[in-house]
Amino acid sequence: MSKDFKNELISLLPRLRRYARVKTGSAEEADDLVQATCERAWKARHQWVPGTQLDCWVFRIMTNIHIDQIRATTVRGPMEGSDAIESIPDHGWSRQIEASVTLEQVTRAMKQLPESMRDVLGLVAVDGLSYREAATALDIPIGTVMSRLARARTELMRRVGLSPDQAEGAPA
Amino acid sequence: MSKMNFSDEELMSYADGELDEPQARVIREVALSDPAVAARIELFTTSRKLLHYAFESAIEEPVPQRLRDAISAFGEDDEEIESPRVVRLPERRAAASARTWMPRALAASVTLLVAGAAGWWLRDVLPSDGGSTPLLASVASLPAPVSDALEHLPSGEVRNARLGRNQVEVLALATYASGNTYCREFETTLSADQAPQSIHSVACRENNRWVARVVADQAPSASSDNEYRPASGNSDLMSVIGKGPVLSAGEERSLLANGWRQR
Repeated sequence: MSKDFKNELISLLPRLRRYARVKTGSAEEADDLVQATCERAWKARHQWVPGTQLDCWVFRIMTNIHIDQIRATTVRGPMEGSDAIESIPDHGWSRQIEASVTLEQVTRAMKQLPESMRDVLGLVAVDGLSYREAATALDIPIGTVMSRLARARTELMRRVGLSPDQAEGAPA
Repeated sequence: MSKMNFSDEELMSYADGELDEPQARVIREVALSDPAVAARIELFTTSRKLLHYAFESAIEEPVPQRLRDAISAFGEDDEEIESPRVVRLPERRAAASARTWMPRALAASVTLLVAGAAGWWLRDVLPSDGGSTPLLASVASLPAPVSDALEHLPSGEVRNARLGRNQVEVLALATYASGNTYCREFETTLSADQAPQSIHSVACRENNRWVARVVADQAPSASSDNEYRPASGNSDLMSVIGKGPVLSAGEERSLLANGWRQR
C-alpha cells in the first residue's frame, strides 16, 4: 500500500504544483509548499481512507499547511474566510483594449484576491474539481464553495476589466 | 418581456455544468432570449477559461526531479522523513528565483481575447505604451485577408495583405490536425512606421471559417523578454490549444485543394 500511495502522490505532483502556484503566486514557494504537503500526507497516509479521493485529501492538507504558514508569517494576517478584498487600486485598463486581457493580468489579479477566493478558483476553475469535491478539499459546505466561487469570479473579471457591470460604473 | 431572475450561483452552476439537465434546460431557454442572462453566463464561462489558461503552463512543466526524489526517499519509518529536506540547497533557491513563475512566452505575451470584436487585429490591441500586452484570441473571427491567406497559402509561403491602412505579411507556418478539425499556425508581420511587429497565431477551422485560437506577440520589447526565442514554432502556444500531429506537405496540399473539407 505504501508503494502505491507513493506512486499516487507522485502522479498528483503536477496538479499539486499548479494549485500551489494559485495559492502562493510564486514557483519557488509553490514547490516548497508541495514538498511540505507531500511530507505531511506521507506521515498521515494511514489516515487516508482508501476508496475516497486522494486528490481532495491532499489538497486539503495543502490548504491547512498554507493557512498555518500564513498565520506564522504575517503579523496581522489576512482575514481568512472573510473574503475581504484588499483595496488595491484598479489599473484602469483602457476601454480600447477592453476585449483583451493578458494572462499576466489574470495571475496578477489572482494574487490580489483573498486566499479563500483563490482556493475555490484554484480547485474548481483551474483544477476542474466539482463543487462537491472542492467542498471536501476545503472542508467547507458546498453552498459556501458556490457563493465564494461566484463572487471570486465576478471580482476577478472586474479586476481584469471584463466585467459587464463596468460600463455602469464601479459596483457598490 | 417576462424577466426570470436567476442567482449568480445558479448561472455559474449552469456554466460549470453542475446542473441537472432539467434545470439546465430552463436556464438555457431563458438565456436564448435574455441577453443579460447570457452575458452573466458568459462571465462565468470566460473567467473559468481565463484561469485555466493562466495556470495551464504550471501543469505542462516537468516536475522537478528533487520533488520526485524527495517523495521516493520517504521511508516506512517516519523518522526518516526529515532527510529529504536536505534538498533545500542554496543553489536551488538561486535557480528557482531566477526563473519566473510562468514560462516567459505565456506570462509576458499571451493574451486572451475574449470578445468577438472585429477590429482587434494587430494594431488595435497592441499597446501604444510598449507594455506587455499582446493577445490571444479564444473566439475571434479573422479579417478576411488573413483568413483568405490561411485558406490558400501553403506552409512556408508568404503573402502580403492589406488590413485597414496597414500592409501586413502573412507567413503560414504549419498545419495541424486538432480534434476533428484543422488548425494553422501562422505569423503576421506589420511593417508600418516603426520596427516590424510580428504576431504569432493559431487559427482553427470552425463551421467553414477560420477562427483565431491563440495569438502571441513575438515582438521583442527593447528591454525585457530577450530570453525566450523558440527555434521553430511555439510549443507553449501550441500546448494551449492541444494540437494534434503536424500534417505533411502532401496532406496539406490536398486540404488546400479541396477547400479544407472536414475529416
